[in-house]
Amino acid sequence: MTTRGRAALPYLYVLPAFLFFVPFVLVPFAHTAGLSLYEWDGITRAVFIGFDNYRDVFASPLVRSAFGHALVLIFFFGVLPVLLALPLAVSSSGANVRGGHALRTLIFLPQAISTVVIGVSWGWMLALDGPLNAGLHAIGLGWAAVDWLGSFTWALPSLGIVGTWTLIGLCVTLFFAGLQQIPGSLYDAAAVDGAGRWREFWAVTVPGLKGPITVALSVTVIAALRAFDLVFVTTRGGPGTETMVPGLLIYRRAFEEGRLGSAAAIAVLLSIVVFAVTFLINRIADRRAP
Amino acid sequence: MTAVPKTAPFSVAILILFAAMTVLPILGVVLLSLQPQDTQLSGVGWPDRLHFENYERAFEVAHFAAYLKSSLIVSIAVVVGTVVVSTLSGYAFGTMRFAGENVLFYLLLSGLVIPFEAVIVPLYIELRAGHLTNSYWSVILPLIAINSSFGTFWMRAYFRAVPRQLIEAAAMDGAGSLRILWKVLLPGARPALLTLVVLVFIWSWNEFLLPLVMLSREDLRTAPLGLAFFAGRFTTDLVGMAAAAVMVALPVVVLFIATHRRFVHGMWVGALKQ
Amino acid sequence: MDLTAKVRRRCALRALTATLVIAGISVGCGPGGSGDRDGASQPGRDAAEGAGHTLEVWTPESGNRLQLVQQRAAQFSAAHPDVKVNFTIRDFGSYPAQLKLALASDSAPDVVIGNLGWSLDGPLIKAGTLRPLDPWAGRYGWDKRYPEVAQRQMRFSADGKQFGRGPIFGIPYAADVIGWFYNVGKLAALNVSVPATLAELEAAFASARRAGEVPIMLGNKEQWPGLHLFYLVSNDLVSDREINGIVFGDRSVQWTAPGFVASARKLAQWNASGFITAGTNSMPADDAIARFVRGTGVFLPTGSWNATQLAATMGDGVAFFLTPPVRKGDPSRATGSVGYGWHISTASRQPDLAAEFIDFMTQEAFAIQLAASGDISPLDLGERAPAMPSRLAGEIFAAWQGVLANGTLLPYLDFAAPNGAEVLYPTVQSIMAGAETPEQGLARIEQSRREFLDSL
Repeated sequence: MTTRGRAALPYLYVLPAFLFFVPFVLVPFAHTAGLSLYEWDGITRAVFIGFDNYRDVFASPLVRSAFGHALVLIFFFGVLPVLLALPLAVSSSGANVRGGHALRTLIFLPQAISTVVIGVSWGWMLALDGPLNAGLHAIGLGWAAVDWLGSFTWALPSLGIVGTWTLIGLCVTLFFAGLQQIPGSLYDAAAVDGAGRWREFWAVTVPGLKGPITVALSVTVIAALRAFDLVFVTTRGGPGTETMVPGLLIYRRAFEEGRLGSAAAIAVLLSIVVFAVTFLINRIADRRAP
Repeated sequence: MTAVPKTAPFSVAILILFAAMTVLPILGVVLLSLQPQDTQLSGVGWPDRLHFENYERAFEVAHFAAYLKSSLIVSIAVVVGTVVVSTLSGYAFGTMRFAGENVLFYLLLSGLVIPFEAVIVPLYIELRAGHLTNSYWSVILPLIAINSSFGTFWMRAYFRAVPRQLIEAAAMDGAGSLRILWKVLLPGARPALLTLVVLVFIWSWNEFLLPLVMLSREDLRTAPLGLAFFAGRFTTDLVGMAAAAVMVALPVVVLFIATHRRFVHGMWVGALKQ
Repeated sequence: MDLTAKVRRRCALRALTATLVIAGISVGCGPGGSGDRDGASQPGRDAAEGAGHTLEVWTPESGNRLQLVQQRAAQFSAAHPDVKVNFTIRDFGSYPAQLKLALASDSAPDVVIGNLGWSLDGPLIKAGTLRPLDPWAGRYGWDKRYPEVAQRQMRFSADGKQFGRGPIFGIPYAADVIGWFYNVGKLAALNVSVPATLAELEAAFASARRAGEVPIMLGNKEQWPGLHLFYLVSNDLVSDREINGIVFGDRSVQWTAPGFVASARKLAQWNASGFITAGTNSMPADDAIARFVRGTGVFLPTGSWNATQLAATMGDGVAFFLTPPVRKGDPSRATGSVGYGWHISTASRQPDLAAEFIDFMTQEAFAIQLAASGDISPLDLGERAPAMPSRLAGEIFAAWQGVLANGTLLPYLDFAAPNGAEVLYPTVQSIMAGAETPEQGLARIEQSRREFLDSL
């Protein structure tokens, strides 16, 4: 093989991936940015309107509240699962835990289930006369049995908890794998220093899991910012607009109301937020390097 | 040898508690799907007998056979495409040096971060113009594209961890790059590949937004789509809806449980390579 | 070369072709128009070759009406052996989005149901996806079939900017009116007679509440049922001029008028007083009906399209009345319409066949069938009206006739704009729940309406 040929070889291997990636991801992404400068119903001719869509979008209380709701979901989808998964992973990695593997598999199961199934199932569970409230009544907490997904106060947090339930397994698995790589010498050293379990957790375990925590946060935060499936199947953005999220708003504007330019502007905004948050997470992780 | 942090018995209990909390809703829905048709909403309890006819009803009335077939076709095609494409590019990124490799890699990786909602509108317009909407291609091709971001990342990680000597020795014996890949590297890559296959299958099967937009024809819809519309049209047939939900989730859950030992091992191995 | 390379080459080639096609197309035409706006062809028979024709039909219809429609369509197929009619059915909430996607696709349907005014027809007409039906209207006599007042709702300007005038675009087949269904037994048990004024109605709610019953059974998950409840109040508290003004785009009328504020406030009061079902916000409308049938709830505010199902399951145990007037003896005013209509898509390659189908589906014979099943027809059946199948159907029919005779039919307010789902429905829901004040909510609705009118 000639030197030129050999030099071109890697590019040939990489080509197939880009043959898919460019036309089906990169080009449409660039298109979205362009589309956001137009007003278009998808069928007739588009009208160039410059940054008007962005002006409307920034001024719109509905869009602002949608992003606000996404931030709330970030807490439930990302922060909460990570916090809960840390001690869980630690517990399950104990050598004396038989069936730790089986338990971890069970906790991971929601990841394999379609969000539509999850939405439909939890929609039933959280109904006013559904099983959760029936359970609350049974243990004497009847006063707490509200219409979870129909309440202006509780709908969004309820969806958040569903997200927590779905994503804990992913975090536990990531952390468990990460735990295997923390050198035993660090724990021995901590033991020598007389560190108790608590101290050992904060001084050795958590810093050692920095990588998996970063990955977990990135993945879950992106899931929170997207959150289309779950909302579509359970509340469709209601009651009122309490569970409206950017993904659903984009779909509505583009496909139900025929305002594709506006939808594109929101999509661009969403992408910027996703990039920014991911960047931030990784930046903080790097800064905290031991 | 990695040591293990101290644990106490009660933390095992917490683990069991969480596992139970995870499984309970799932069990609840399965039980619901076997209840008689006019069951009250809060009916969580053992049904008088197993009403499998709910499944028949969901199957017939809601065309679930067609939906499951569509899902299978799409998922298998995406898995095949993604694995092939990702293995090739992961191989290059993981074992070869070339100009611009970092830029290209991070460009490809951006697919992990780009939200699908940002891409769906022009994607729909492009595919419509190309007369591909309402065909499986409109779902398969974009899914391969977006999954190849993760796939490349994953396979690159695996290939990077292979000892260089192995590759160099084979090259010294006169093997071409393709043969090295096929004969030397792939046999050992089974755990990593299996993990990739399972993950991509799960993600493709469960994909909702893309088919929702691309496939408006009844006979092409995938299973999650079928479930969503079934739930919308038959809001009072709760047990039928539960049966439909179980049918949509079952294939993937079965695949997951069947491969979970290897799969978690694969993730572990993959995570280790970081 | 071994197998992998060959496979790889083939895949690469296919992907490359796809890429080039897509890249070429996307570079060539950015956002662009493809709406085919040529006018309707001369009425006549489409060239019917030996091969069969399939008419693709889309509808959000459900329940008993859907059955009747499908049976009637089967009769059409039977009379035309080379024609098959294929239905695609979607639930009412998802219908607009799904229909728009379908109309813009390669497999656009031939005949579609719309929804009046700007709720769906307007945007579809503006985008050029629906054909004006005047050539066939003359041929089949559609413009003579419907009373003049009804035709206003069937007309739209060809540019989609003016509702109420212009060519006819849709041909309706089943009228509707919104009112109060009630459980006869429960009302009797409360010792309450059918309310004759608004005040008596509210007193009935209070009695029901005291007796431990659910006064108003409402499933508002989809958010538009709450709007229908709003109509039942605004019928009494808002003037004709204001309601028509909102619907037909009169800028001198506003949502923030006192009548609307009073109506919204009453809705919030009813909810705060516990008159409306708990859990209404997560209850689908069909669920509410199912529960009402099973015996929960005294009153069920909904449209006449549910009459057949209710009569079938509750027989004489259910009855109907329109919102009683404020002042005793005044005629009742009711929100209703001649019904959404059949449209022919611009993309259809067999418009004449489609027109024949539409005519068959809206003839008097079918109207009589509908009436006989307990639904209302937009046609004036006069002597030919069939015997009513149930007491309920009789009451609804009489109510409809009364409203037409008194001229107190009011159009649906959500005909006024296409973005009901984004602004109007959620806002009414949040006003009802007390999450915001009527003034706040109505101001937002009015602003959204302004923006829409400005965009036309």
